[in-house]
Amino acid sequence: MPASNAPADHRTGFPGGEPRLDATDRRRGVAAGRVLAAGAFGLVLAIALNAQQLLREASQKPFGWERDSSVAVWEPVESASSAVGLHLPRLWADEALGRTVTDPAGTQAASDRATSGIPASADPDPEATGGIVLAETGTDNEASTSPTTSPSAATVPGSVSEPAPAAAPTPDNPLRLAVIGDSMVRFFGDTMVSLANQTGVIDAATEHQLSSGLTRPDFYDWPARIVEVMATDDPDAVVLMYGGNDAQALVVDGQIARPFSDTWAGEYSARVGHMMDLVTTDPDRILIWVGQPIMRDPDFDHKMVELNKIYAAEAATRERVRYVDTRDLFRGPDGGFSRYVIDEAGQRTDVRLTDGVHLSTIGGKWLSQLLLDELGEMVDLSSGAGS
Amino acid sequence: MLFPTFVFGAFFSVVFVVNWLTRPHPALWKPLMLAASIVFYGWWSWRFVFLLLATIVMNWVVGHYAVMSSDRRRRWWIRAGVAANLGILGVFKYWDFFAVEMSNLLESFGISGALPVLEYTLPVGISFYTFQAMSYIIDIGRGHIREMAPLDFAVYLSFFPQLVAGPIVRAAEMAPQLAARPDPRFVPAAEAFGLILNGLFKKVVISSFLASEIVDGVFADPSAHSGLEVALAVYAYAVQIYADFSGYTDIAIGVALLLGFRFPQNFDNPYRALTLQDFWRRWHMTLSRWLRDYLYVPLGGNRRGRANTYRNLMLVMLLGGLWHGSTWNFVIWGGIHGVVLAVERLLREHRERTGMSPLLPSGIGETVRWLVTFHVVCLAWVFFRSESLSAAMEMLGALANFENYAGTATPLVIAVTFGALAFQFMPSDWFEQLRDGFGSLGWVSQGAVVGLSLVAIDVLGPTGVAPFIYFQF
Repeated sequence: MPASNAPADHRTGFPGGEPRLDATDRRRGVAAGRVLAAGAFGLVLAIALNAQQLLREASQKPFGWERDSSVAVWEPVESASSAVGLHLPRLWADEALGRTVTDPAGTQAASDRATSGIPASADPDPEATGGIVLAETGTDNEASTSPTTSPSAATVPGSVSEPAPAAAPTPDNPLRLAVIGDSMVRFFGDTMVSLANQTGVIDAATEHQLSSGLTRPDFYDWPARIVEVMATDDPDAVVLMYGGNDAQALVVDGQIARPFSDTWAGEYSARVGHMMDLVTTDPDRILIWVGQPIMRDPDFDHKMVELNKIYAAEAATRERVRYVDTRDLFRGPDGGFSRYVIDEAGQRTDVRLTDGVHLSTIGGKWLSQLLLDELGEMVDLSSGAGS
Repeated sequence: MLFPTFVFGAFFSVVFVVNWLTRPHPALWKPLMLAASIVFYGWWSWRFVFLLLATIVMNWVVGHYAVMSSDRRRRWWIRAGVAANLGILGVFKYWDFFAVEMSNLLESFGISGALPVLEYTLPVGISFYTFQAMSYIIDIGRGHIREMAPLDFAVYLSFFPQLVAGPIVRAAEMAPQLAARPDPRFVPAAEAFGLILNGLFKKVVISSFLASEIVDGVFADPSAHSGLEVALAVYAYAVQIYADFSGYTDIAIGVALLLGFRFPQNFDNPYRALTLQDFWRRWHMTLSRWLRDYLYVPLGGNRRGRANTYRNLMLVMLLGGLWHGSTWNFVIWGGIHGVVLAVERLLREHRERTGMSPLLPSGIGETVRWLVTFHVVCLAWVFFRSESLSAAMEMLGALANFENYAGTATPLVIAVTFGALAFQFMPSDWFEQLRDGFGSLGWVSQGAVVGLSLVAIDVLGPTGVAPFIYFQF
């Protein structure tokens, strides 16, 4: 095919591209078999050098046949690679880049609660009255209680436990706020930090980890990270949001528990409660736990409703933990999911991303404002700029 | 199925072998290639495979009846076909935008009764394959190409290397290649591997690094960053979107080469352009060519007086912006390009009419022109990247921040951003030299280079790979 490079815009007046379409130079060609040999050798070499990483990624998939077959494929490859030391260059490279390297086949065998130095929760019955669950009183460095309520039995959405009043922050002594969670936080964390800092009495920071949650600490160990953040940043208030990646199987005592089975619900509730305890170990610290908003996919939305029940139930048993329901905030005109929600001015506003899960910038602002309003009910922010 | 994944590597290994084994037998090769493309596309969502197949059938039928018809009826068929393609795009891509804007407009006049929104998920690659389909039926109507056999057309429109993000290949470019029997003894492997590795590096390492280290954070909350960081984030986004999109194109072209097909180039160092006109000869070339041949020229191009020429230029760039997505930001992005292209044309015409010589010496003049062009492109990128008009304005306003340094302008971010821009000015034969060097190696050494490069890219890139930016268009 002839090359064509002459700019045509002098002819037409429009700067359209004239993409080159060269003829293949046969002298530079090689036989397809040789290409296959070189490509296959390259792939095999890459797999051998990268086998630990491939096994790690396979083991971090949701529990099920896909994970099992992937692990079954990569385990012997990784063993062979490690036996002859082919994994070492990758290891050295990761270390040189300052990356943490974990056990490639780690499947959260070690309890995340054990790693964080906080004892596991007990299982008392929560005292529920009129839809409001009265909080059990926790003490410093002492495990608070955790309910055995299964997700289906938890019926306290939006319940509120009364926080201990905190000292009013001032511009000279601002409230340190940490906004932490999974990919949902990616889409509102920065906005919330910005809005919070504009009050003049909050010094906020945010961090998130994509694809993370509480079911798979082998992917990302949030309890360990929360302990680090509490120790290093010592925030006065914390906003946590998890759940979007948590409707998957988890391991309990070496056994895989199906999502939303009784075993699963008990373990997941304990993990949620444990996270709440890690944050509120300090008696001056308060926690806002953000519920999942309404989702487009009905099946996914149903799972998020079940998770929200767990969050609400766990929050209700703890002082200084407030669960914030977000479903009503993002309901469409017909009460179900919609990207376009009517705002106060009566205008349809695009509050969600096209994936039907995450929040748009405007949706992030709405959620941030709701959370700051909730924070304002827990802490006196009246000396801020907005007062 | 994303290119930079092991799943695609395994998929392509099988397709490569099947391709060269069956290529001498078109009756076998074509259904197998169509099946491979459907598997590739269905990996995202099997539901949209039916939309793709419906588009194939509809456009082939339109093309067929257009060929069989008289001139007058042929025009009718072509118009109906274009309208149907635009209708598909309209339903999936533009209706909600129109319904929301119209409802809000009516509401502001106190008229309630909102138009329904559909909230359909946007099928991946719909803008690319409907544009290819329209080019086919329009070229048939113009008599520029002959009708393709149904299976040939299906393979062309669904061909997986270019299905989801281009390049926008024309039937006139693919039909001869589908008819030809490429010789399996002459596969341009060095060029193909070079393009694939280069594309992977640009996408997995450069694009992902800049997105996570500065672009996403600053665009999410510009007011929390200093003006210098905001400016750096805009430059970094210019590099990110180029690395992302041209990286995809490089991989697509390389993959097609390994299967015996050659696609048109789509990028030619766009950030070395000295004018916006030059930029559009170098950026997404197959789209600008499409807009010129199927929109600008039919509108009258530059043949109906100066006023109409400027109107057409503006209209095409506005619609080019809207092609990317149904938001005002994309319209403004196209508008900025349209206005500046018009101003450039006006100045050029004035200079030619008056015989005015350049105001600045050539070296300084070129530097100034480059700076102006690059910053106009960057200004437009702010609207392209921002989620809303107010977010874009906030971003531009934050350029004046003299406080709030958030520490994102690290030496590595600065080096990668400006290094990638400087790379656009490298002599254009560097790739040929590398390719020839690679081609002179034995197959074991070539395999070793490929393997080590893949590992290096994986080590340098983040965990997991974000979808390509242009998948959303």
